[in-house]
Amino acid sequence: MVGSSSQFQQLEKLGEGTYATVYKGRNRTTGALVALKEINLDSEEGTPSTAIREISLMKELDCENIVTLYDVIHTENKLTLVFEHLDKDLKNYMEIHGKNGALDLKTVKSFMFQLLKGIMFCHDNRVLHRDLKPQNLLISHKGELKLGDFGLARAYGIPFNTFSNEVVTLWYRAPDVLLGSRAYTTSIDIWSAGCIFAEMCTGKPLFPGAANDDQLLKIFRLMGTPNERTWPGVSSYPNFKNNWQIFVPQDLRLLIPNLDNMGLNLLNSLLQMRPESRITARQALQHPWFHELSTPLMHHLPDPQYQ
Amino acid sequence: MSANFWNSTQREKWQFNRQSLLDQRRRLLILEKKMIQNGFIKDYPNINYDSNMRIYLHNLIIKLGRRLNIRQVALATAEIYVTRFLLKVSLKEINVYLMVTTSIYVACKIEETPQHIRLVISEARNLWPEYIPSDISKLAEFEFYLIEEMDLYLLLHHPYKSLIQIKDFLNENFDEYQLQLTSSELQHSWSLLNDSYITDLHLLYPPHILALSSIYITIVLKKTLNSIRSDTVESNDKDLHIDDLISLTNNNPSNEINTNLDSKSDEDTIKINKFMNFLSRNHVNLDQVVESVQDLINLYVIWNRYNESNVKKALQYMLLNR
Repeated sequence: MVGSSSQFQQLEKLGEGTYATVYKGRNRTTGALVALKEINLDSEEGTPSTAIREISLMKELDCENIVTLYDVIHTENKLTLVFEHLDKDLKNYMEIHGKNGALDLKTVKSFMFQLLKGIMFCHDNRVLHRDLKPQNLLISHKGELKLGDFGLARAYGIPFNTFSNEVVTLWYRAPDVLLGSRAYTTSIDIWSAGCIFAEMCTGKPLFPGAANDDQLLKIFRLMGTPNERTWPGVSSYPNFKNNWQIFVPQDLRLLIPNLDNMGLNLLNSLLQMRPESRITARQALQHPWFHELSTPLMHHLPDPQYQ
Repeated sequence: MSANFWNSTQREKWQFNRQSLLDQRRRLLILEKKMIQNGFIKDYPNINYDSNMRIYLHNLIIKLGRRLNIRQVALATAEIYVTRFLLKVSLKEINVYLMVTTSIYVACKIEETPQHIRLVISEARNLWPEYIPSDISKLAEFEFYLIEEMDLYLLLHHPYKSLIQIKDFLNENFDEYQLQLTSSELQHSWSLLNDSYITDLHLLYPPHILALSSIYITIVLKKTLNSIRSDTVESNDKDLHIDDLISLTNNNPSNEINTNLDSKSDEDTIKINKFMNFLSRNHVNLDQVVESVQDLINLYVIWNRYNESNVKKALQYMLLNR
């Protein structure tokens, strides 16, 4: 499994992640394209915890909607993770194939279904992705969608310290997290899925906030400013404020006129302000909006808790 | 860490049966012999991966773990890493003290309680100054060696969680099974699980089998203990002791499962019967439970004959004369 770096020819840079740089690569023997994620090793702290966590999680997650980790190459001063290469991420895909970024409903439905399947698989395995966004969803030329970049993912159920200096986009971040909740649960990935759903329909990010407070404000403007009546316990979050401008909830239909009622109902269940009210990935996959897609496999989704 | 053992790599990639485990160890011995013949490593006839060595390694992990104040689950993960690693690598090639230190260091990262490399090295050096290098890059190097030999499969499922789940399940379904675990029984089962990492059981059976086996031993031991005590002097000591297990070993545990069902219906026997009922109603693989119980009890027999200084001296001779 552990190979030598020279097996792969390094091609152009694909992006700069939170703790790594990603290049396109080519297998010298087979010619197959791969994504090479390079992590610089600091002799002060051994292999970074984030890398170890990403590797160990990716090894557990064997799912068609999650990118495959082929290989890990360790050299003196760097660690390279060799991933399956997909041509595009969802952001590029929308730019190229969308009408001003907006995708047709048939494609949206297929991508949402695959996204939720990948999320369900993670959650079944007690993994939170924590950083779902169009740039982290990879699309193959066959129209397959796969979750990538588990650098921030965590096994949940264990308390952890938040990283303070990370620059990650806030646009897909759940309101409870923005309010300072540290009790991260699977519901944070569900909120992100809702934001991505809306963005695929309209071609524009749903809540493009500039900073934490602005992000909250953009959410409130659409979903309504929460209070103890609409969200019991909201005032005990660390970042709760009494002087927020009061907004009433808007009808999502006005924002996304092309989405049918059933689709709006699903979107609404994903974008619940209260984390406990958000639908689970398993429930979302059984939503009537997906019925036309359902394969026999989806008719029952066994819950591993009861195996 | 994960709730889903059934499609984990622990089950798919790192679960053995007795034969495949034996084959793997045999392959390693052949490799070791070749390396000795070719002069890559020296032979140390007193260094063997036997029960004595395993108890010794277990104690090293506990010692460093206590110094660093590490959670039990992370230590359990480190124990499995050592067991897996030593299926692939000969003791004669490596420094076991560095291996133990590295296993704990990696286990802490995986169990989300990372410890600073300098702290880990300095505490290990306090314990074993003659064997732990001050150069932290040695630990960083060993880290990847360890991870590679495990084929990068690092996430583990431990029976502690199964034990808690079984306790909760029995509480929730008291009407059905009329059975509950007392806190001392739970504590005792937990301690048995701590010791179970010396054995191969975690490479052979799913976590819930080990949890059930520890409960079985706890309940049966209590009965035996109570009957011994009622025969002899009165004792105020109601606690169970690991040492008491040795007194159990004259009995064959596999027969015990059946014979105890027929014995007189005192309170302890009733509890055992209820537990057996719980096992059969939930379709537990009893053969696996019996094997685990046997291995665990054997462990304490071996432990009784354990001689620490022999292992320590053999390692000292090897590590200081390389």
